[in-house]
Amino acid sequence: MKYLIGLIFCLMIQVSFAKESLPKDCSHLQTAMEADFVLLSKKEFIELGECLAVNLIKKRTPLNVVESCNEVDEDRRNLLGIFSLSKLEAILIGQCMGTINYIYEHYDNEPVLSYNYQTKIYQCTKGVQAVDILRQSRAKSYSRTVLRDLLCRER
Amino acid sequence: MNGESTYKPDFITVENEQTLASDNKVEANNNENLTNDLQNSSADLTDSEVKLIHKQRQKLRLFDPEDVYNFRHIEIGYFQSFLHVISLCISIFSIIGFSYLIINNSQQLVKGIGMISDLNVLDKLCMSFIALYSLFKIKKTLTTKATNFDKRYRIAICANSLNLIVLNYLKLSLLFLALMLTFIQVEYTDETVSSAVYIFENGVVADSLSIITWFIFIVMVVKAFKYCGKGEIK
Repeated sequence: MKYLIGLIFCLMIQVSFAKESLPKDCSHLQTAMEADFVLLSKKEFIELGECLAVNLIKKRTPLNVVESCNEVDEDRRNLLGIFSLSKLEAILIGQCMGTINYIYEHYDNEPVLSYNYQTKIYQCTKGVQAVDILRQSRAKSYSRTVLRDLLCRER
Repeated sequence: MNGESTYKPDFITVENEQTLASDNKVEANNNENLTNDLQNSSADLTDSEVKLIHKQRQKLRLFDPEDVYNFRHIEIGYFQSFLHVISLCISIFSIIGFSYLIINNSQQLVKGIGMISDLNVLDKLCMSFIALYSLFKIKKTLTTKATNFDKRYRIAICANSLNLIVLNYLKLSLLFLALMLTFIQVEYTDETVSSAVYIFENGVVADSLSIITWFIFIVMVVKAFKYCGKGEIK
């Protein structure tokens, strides 16, 4: 009986074994990476996702924006709320929101760089609208310029 | 009056093995007397009904904890017990292997962190409840004495309960697979099978369906373990 309980316990704790280590900017979220219960640490997981997304954009690594923003939409429409949220989904939600916030902070109200000296500035969307734009986009890869072109308009 | 009692002492002495053997014969005779009483006492039971009850007593049961409980006063043969042990091992192996597969396959790779699990709160709650409930019920079976042939009875009822859970789960999976494929055929005829199946794997539809499947599975487990630990004789 004890061995059966021990075996099931061993199977359950294997879930949070991470092989990679966090990037340096996100090292303050180490505890969030090791936590396992979404009920207690949903906010930390979302912060972790945001930090990771910003890091990936800065390193110019492609990230799967469509999948992340689909999770945001799914979370909005879900019947059960937090009961059907998993750790992976919380991190993906954080990635989507982190991407949108980063593009907004970086490009909103900033002048457009162009050869002719016309002063145009970018106007970027945020929130639910931005999520929907990203969900329906069909770009091949998502670099910073592609995201900027999707989310921001020149004005 | 001089120290002698009116009645002679009435001790039962166990002198040799023969008296013990005759006790076993007495028990076997009791079984036959039971059947004779069965035949004689209730005038409703026909001959064929009595034969049916005899056959039911000796039947090999693999997926029927209720009948194992009802016939617990009948001694289970050693060969039947051996088959129960084998089926118990197979069921335990498949249950544990399947849980391990679920836990491992739900992990996906996230760039920057590593493997993260995709099991949501509901999944984890239901799996822990089922594990704890099963262990509680099995422990209760192992500590209640329900019949004179306890070891074989306990193996039989645990094997039957676990086998019933595995069988019902396979039936449930097959039913849901058939429903899902029919639904895909009706609604999403233009898409490939793998993309249509993906709709049922992740999304609002999948999460709503998973509540229903977990609820049915928990009801199945509770009903399968209903007779474990019952029927204590003092």
